[in-house]
Formats: sequence, C-alpha cells, structure tokens
Amino acid sequence: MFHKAKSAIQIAALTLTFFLPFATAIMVETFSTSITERGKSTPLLFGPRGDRFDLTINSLFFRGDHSSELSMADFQLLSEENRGIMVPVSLGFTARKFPVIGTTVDYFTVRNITPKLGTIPLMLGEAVLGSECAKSLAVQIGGHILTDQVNLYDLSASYPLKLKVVGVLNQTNSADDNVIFTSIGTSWVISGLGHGHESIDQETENDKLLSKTKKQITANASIEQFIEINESNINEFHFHSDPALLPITSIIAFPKSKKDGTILKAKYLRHQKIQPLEPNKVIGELLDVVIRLKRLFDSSYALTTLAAVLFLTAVILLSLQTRKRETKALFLMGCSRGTICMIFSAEIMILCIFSILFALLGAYVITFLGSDILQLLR
Amino acid sequence: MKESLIQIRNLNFRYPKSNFSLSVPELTINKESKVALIGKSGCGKTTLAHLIAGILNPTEGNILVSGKNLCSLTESERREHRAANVGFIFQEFELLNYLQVKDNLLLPFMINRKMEITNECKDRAHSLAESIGISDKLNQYPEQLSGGERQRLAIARALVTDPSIVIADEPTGNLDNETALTVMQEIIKQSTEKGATLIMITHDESLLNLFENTINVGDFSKTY
Repeated sequence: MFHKAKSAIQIAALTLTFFLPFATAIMVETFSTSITERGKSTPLLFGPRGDRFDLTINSLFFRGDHSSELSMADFQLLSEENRGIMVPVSLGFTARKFPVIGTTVDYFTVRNITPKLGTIPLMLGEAVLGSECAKSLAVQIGGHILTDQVNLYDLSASYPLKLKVVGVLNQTNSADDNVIFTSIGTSWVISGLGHGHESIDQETENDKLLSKTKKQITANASIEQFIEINESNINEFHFHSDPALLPITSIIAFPKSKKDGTILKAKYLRHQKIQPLEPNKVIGELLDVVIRLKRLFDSSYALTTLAAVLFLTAVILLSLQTRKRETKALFLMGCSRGTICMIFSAEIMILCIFSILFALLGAYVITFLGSDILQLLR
Repeated sequence: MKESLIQIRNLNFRYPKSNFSLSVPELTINKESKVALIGKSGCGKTTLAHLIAGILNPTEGNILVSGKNLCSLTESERREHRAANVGFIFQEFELLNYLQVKDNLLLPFMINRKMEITNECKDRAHSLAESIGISDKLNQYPEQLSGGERQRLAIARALVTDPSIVIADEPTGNLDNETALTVMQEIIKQSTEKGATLIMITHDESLLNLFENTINVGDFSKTY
C-alpha cells in the first residue's frame, strides 16, 4: 500500500509537471486561433475615436465597457458610400448577465450564423440566443428573459424589458455563442430611448396627466409603461429622439472588394469622429502581448520543471537510501550491480512513462475541450 | 567420513584502508555439515562468510568450493557461482514487500539473467512452500504473513536454487530464546532435507549444541 501510494504521488507530481506546459501551449494556441479567426472574419470596423483595443474587443468579443458612441447618422454616412455591407452594433446591456447585442439581420448573413431553432429577431422585443447562452439559460422558444436593471437605485432609469425568445443559433465557437441578439431598435428600447405606454388622448383620466391643452397632453409617472413588447402593444412603442441621433457602439463593415475596403479606410483615417480599424491587425498586436506572456510562462515552467525534477531526484535518492538493505540483499543473492541499476532505472522509467502518458492524455483532452474551457473563461 | 566441500588454505584478507586483517591458515568444512561461526562483534564472522560465498576476494591464499578455486574466478563468475550455489538467510529476512510470496520465492532466479525460471524451478518452489506450510499463501504479500511464516519464507527462498551452501547471518539475532530455537531448528531441518551445508553466523551460545562444528573466527583475526 505504501509503495502504491508513493508511486501514485510521484506519478501525479510528474504528470502535472509535464501536463502544465502542454496544456498552456494548447490553450494559448486555441485562444490565438479563436481570436485570430474572429479578426480575419471582420475586415473593417468603424467606431468612435479612442482606444483601438477597447473598440475591437467591445465590437468583436462583446467584452468590456465603452465610453463614447457613434450615431445612426454615422451609420447612414457609411452606408451611403455604397462600398459594402455595414452592420451597426449596439452594446451595453445584459440579460441574466449575458450581453445583449442590438444589430441588424445583416449581421447573421455576413457572419454566416443560422438559427438552429426558430428564427432570428425581426421584430421589436424579440431575442435570439447564442448556443452556449441557450444552454445556460435553458429558456425555450416562446419563453421570456428579462434584461438586467442598469442601476437599481436610479428611479429615473428605464425598466427592464421582457424579451421574447424567438430562436436559438447554431454553435459558432465564437463570441456569438455567449450573447443574446436583438434588433437595434430593441436595444434602444432597453436603453430607455424608446418606450411604450398606454395611449394618451383627450379621454385619458386627469389623474394620469401633468398638463392638458388642446395642442399637447403631458402624462405623469402613473401612466402604465409596457415592460414587454407584443402584438397588442407594439404600435404604442415610439422614440422621442431624432432617429439619426440614436446611438450605436460601432459599425462592422464588409466591403465589396479589397479596393473598397482600402478606400473606406483611407477616407475615414483622418475623420474627426469616426475611427477605422482593421481588427486583424489590432488582434495581431494583442496576440504579441499574449505570446510575450506565454514566453514568460514558458521560462517559469522550465524553472518549475527543473525544481520538480530536482525534488523528485531527491525523493528517489532518499528512496534508494531507505532501500539500501534490499539492494545489498539482492547483491548478496547474486544480482549484478548492473541488474540492480536496471531494476531501479526501470522503476523510474515506468513512473516517467505513466506520467508522460497521463500528461499526453490530458493534453489530448484539452485539445478537444480547449474551446469549451475558453468559453468557460469568457 | 563426510566429503569436504569448502577448503581454505593460507587465506589472508584485509579491507583497504583498514587495520583489520583475517588470516586462516587452514579450514575445511564438510558437505552437509552444520557449522556455527562465532566470535565478538567485528571479529570477521561476516567477512569470512562473504569470502566463502565469493562476495569478497582474499588478498592471499585459496578458497576451494567443490574443488573450484574462487580466487581464480572473475567477479561475474563468482557472482554466478554465488547465485547457483549459495543461499542466504538474512537477519531481517529482507523479503520484498511489493512482490507476492511466490515471486519472493523465485527471486533468486528472477534477479540472475543466467538462471531461467523453468517449470522444474516452479515445482521446487511449490514443494518448498508446501513443506514450510505456506502453499496456500503464494498469492499474498509478505506483509500479510505472520512473523513465523515470513521466517519460513526466507528459509525457503534461500533453498529454492538447491544450493550446496546456506549462509545464515544471525537470523535469530532479534528473537527471544524460544523463537530463536524454533527458527534455528527449522533452518537446520530444511537445509538437512535439501542436503545443504549450513554456515550460521551467531552470537547465541545457547544454540551452539545444534551444530556439528563451531569456529571461533576471533582466533583468525587481528586488529593492528
């Protein structure tokens, strides 16, 4: 029992020593491939002037906060260039902790995302779930999810909106799997820029009104706000702002050709408000940092491995010391020193072989689960 | 009259960088005899036993075992000779706890590349296990055996190669008188049955009447 336990501990220590560098290398490779692919599949990105890393991570991976915004007028401006498909993206809200992304139907077409069940969101108040998001939330089509309150203590803030789930997307192994998509209009409703309430007219009771003239009726806070958009109240939803001023986070551009892309980029390079980016290049810069970090990890692992090997050597030497009598008995019985060395070497070899096998098995599993693990880390 | 098995002539032995020396002008040990090596601690009992077994090579003189001069053999030849002709019983028995009883029995064959584990060896091991009463425990581990069974297993292991010499290095050193007598009787019984010459290193004078010859090794040794 003692020998079995000792061997198991030695194998576990060696397995971890061999496995960690393997696993890190595989995870970094999976991560690099995953984010590089996302960058490659996004030819151009337009956003407000500011940190290009923040903008890229916001718009491609739906992570982090964004401070400044573009408007639908900017989107209009780019679309009128007629040099490719422009897709507006509106971020900043969550539903049960998952990011809610407001966009247009074009997003699904250009990213080649198809619904596994149901449809993509076409109407105000509809939502479609990314595959991982659907698994986590376990909401059926036809079910509802409530958006998260932005600030519980802000009484003037918009109410959470009850979104109707109309579809679940196929898995893409990208950031799209972990989000909830809605129409761009729905994202404005969530932000409070659009809303719906019971109709106000000359017949409305006076206790629901602040003021009433022949030209204008102003309701007070007691008027019923709709927290859900459905067929019966959809016509009551409206925006009080100029549609051109409604905000978006960024615009993902899919130019018709490389030339169109170059012209678009060049045209907005010195634009006061809009910043053009090539996500592939920005991600390349980010990856440089990751790879430098990996090199740091690699040297750290090399030292850790050396320390582990030295510890194990000490353990083996101590083990040989405690087995000195056994060694002597074997020698007296006619066992050659070479054979004794072979027996002990074979024991160490067996430990190493099992450890390497377990480490490779772990690495093999990581190869398949790498993207899932990255999903968990997101 | 018994035939002589071991003949020592003008033997001199000194450990390098040591002030101890052993000189045996003449010593003969007969086949199938039971000899006790006695003497004070450090007088050279184990050294003499190791010289007879071919573990140590004398500085001068000859040691003949069955007519073969061990001093003319190379180290590997002496090792092969030892593996084939000498069985050892140790004070702590030195059974390998990570091997089953049957593998402990066959250990002398397993550790010597020139000795194959034939069916004959296995039969001999089985019959020895039967004769010492552990044949039903062959698949167990030494830790699962009682103290007496472990002692008998160690005796059986020393005899499994059918050696002409059995060297027992104080196998009763840690035992009470009664148990020591039982173990010693078992060793003598088994080695007699197998026709082996028994050379026992002991401090216990109460057991000396069990032996045909007693050699006081202190008579041969000198410390400068």
